[in-house]
Amino acid sequence: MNNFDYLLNGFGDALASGNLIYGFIGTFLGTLVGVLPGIGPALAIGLLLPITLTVQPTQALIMFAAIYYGAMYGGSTTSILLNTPGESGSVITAVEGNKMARAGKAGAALATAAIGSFVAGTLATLLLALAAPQLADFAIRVQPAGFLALIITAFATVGTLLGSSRIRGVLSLSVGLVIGLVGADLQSGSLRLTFGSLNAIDGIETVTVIVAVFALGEILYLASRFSHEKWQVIPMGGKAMMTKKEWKRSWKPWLRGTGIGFPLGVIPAGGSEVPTFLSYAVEKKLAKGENKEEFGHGAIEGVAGPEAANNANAAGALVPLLALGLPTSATAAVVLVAFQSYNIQPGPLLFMTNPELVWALVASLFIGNTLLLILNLPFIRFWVKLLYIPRPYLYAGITTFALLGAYALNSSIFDLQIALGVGVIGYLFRRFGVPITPLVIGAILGPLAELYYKRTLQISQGDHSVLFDGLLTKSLYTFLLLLIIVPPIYRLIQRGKQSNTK
Amino acid sequence: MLSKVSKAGKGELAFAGSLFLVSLVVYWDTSKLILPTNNTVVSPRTFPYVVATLLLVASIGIALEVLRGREATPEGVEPGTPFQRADFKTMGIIVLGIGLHLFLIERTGYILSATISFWSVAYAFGVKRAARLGLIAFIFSTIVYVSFTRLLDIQLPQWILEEFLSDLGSSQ
Repeated sequence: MNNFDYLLNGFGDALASGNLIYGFIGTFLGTLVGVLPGIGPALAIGLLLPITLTVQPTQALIMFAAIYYGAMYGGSTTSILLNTPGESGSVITAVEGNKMARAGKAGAALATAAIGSFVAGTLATLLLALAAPQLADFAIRVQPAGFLALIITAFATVGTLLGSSRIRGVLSLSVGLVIGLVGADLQSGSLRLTFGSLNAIDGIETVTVIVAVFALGEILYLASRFSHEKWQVIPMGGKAMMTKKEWKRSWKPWLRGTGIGFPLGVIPAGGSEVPTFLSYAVEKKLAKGENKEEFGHGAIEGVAGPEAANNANAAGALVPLLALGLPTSATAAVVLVAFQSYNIQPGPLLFMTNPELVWALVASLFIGNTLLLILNLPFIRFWVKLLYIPRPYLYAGITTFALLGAYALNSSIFDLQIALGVGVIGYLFRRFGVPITPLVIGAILGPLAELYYKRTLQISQGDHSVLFDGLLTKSLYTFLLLLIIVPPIYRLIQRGKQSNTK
Repeated sequence: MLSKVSKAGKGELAFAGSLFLVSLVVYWDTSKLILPTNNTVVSPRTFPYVVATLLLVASIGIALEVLRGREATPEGVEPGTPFQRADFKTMGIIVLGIGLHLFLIERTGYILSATISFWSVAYAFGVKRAARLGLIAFIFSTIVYVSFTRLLDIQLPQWILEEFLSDLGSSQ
């Protein structure tokens, strides 16, 4: 069977009546949780994890595909009508989208976001279906040293590209690595940082970390600013529709957004901040005449482009996740954990051992994306109502589900204690401007990095030079070196130029 | 030098300082590691030492940033906004509620402990009518309990209330 046959089979699996219902449930739940203010896609999937614990792997994958796109899309509604984006990828959408809503054009903003997400999601899933098997074919020949180099690259790019301060990115990463250290060492069995606790020997559950750092951390942070914050939903007038002119202004940004978002999702560029921002900058630059003047006051291109980039980026992030087993964003990291809870280990081998699972997932992404459009545009008023849930009850509900998610995995109070501790870390990070994603990536990939490091040195009998063997490792480390050296030099040159002109 | 640091900056110094301490704890814990008797090419100590060093360097780096006057901008706040003191009362109620949840969940069952944590978060965020909120929290927790244990087969700690509910369910 070739990949196309597998994909057709995947569609057959995903569309089988018993499975399609899971797609619907996933889309519904994903959008529901994604629309709720303060819940980004990573947390949405983390919170919904317990719900999928008891279904079959194929059905769970179908649900996850639907939840993934649903949660991504749900965030745009929140940022347009509420101006409190639940996640970094929707920040740019909030800039123009919220202005459009204030100008009475909420319907058009929501429509361009929904249709743009659909267009970008479909195109990007198609690209994913083409690219992932190729990458897996290549990755099957990659040595442990190459994987180590890939992980270190992911650490560096996620750590340095995210957030305003490099040093804070590194701090977040290293705290994540410390969390990953806890428990018995995979090879020698030596106990690290367990301080005599039997529960800690198995290590810290990644789901607990994710749910706690995103949900409890955010709740505590909101509480710390409680006396200073105001919240206002902008009422939505009319229907979620676009005029002919708005269609005309939207379709090019959708395509451009897809073009920017997908490749930046494939390479470990650290989440959706960079592509959405880039797409916004491109649209602003390309806009002409009165459209250009609308930027900053609610330009539809500024919603269409970044929203498409956000979704395409999400699909792109699935390429390294499926083909290499490497998550490049917090959301992808949660999806990895979700797979692992079904004993599915993403990576090049998955394409050989379980092709039917991979292609059922890809087909589900297509279907989930389509269901999303069907569920969303006509029923947008229902979703908007969710924004009117009073804040205290919303936060109380999020806390309840976060605590439940942390507990239900192992029925263990230890996990709840960890959740509270990690929640406080999440608060401190937000308070002191430290990005969260590097922590999540570090906690998940840290143990994997150590494993590949040990494997490499075992093969070479302790000779460190093999760490740099091969074209892949050499080019990755060169890239890293450039990433570290170039910005300071660039800044020096800029400074030199400035002093010359003075 | 320290006198020039603002109040928020001092908080950040304390934050960096505590992470500095964490890195020392990792060093200490790693140095006491019992090594396996069989010969391994890479010691289980190598990686933790690297991680601890990274954390050490990063925490010192943050402290230097603060001393140079480059304090952090809290998430979602425009740079240059005047410092706002954290609302420790609201936070405290929530932490207390979650703490009680941890303490009670396996003693008095899921419903009561979840009622308490739901109540305390909503109360902290400004819900005034405490008794009515208590009722809402109780109903919410009961719905969550029933739907997770019945529909999703996820076991949650039982006590009198939960046993009563399951008796009710089985007698039907």
